[in-house]
Amino acid sequence: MDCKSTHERLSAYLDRELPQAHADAVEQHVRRCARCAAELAGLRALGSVLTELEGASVPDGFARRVREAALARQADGARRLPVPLFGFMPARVLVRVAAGLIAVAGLGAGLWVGVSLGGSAFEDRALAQRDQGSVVEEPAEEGELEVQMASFSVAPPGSMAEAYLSFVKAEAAGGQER
Amino acid sequence: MTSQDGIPTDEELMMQAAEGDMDAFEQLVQRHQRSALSTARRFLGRSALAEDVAQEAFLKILAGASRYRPTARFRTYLYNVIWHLCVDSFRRKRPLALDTLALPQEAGDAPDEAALRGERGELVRRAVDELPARQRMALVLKHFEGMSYDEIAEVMECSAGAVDSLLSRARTSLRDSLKDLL
Repeated sequence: MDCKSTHERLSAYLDRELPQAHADAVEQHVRRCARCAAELAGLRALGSVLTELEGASVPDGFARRVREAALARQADGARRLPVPLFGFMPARVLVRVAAGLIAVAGLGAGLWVGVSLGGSAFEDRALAQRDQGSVVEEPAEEGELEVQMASFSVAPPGSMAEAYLSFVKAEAAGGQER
Repeated sequence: MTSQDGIPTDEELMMQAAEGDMDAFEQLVQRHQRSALSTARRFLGRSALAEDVAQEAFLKILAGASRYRPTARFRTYLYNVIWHLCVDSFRRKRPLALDTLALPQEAGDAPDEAALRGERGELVRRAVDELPARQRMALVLKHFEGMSYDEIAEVMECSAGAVDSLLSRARTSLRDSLKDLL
């Protein structure tokens, strides 16, 4: 083994991390090479000097404080979690799901009411205008995406759609206040 | 891993801590507090910060206890967490690459004044502080915790060959920095 190869392996040799064959080769080289022997001695001396790098004494009550901090962190985490209902669904999630269902139901009911009222009202008006000789607005041509749901633009009083719109407005007002 | 002479192993204590046994957790802390504090102190060079890092390491370990699997020694796991916390502490102070980053020195005497006062420990401290983070941690784990290259590699998430290289470079730098003491 030459000096370059020995030099590359000195650190691992010092740490006893070399395979035996390589360690034997380093030892043989160091025995006959003063320069590499001096380098190895320097690394050993460095190891002694490094012991002066101060560690740390254990502060009194360290383990107890760590335990208390752990308990405090667990308690804090538990406080932030929503209170579970029925053992699986948090309350605030349940409220939002319910609100969503009401909204969907409201939309559906409003749509049904609007279509049933609006559709017959349109027909009645068309017939009346026909009888009077006025022009009835042509329905949308095929290919045009024009939905005539005039009765849906205003939620009939007492309808689920009115309830939904009231809810949305209240939520929006509450969000702005925050 | 089974306990011998009725003394629970680290892994057994971790399993118990995962089930909410705070006595087991505290026992783990007591077993490893000195080495955790010393490793952090030797790496960071600041006692107060080292105590924060060591405490946070134990808290993180407890928080993740339910996911702990004893595929590696607990000590390896602990040092891995300490290593990551030390790196985080580094990055908050100075966002540089770990291979070039060195800690800013604590307020105190200049090196020549320290040499005049003969404070060998202070000189060693300053020399180690000048090492890049990865070289420094490899050195601390090898010299003071007696870890093998494979263990250090596991802690630092690198290869054993990389550990060898880190230690070689660290020693070369320190030999130059501390030649007056050698």
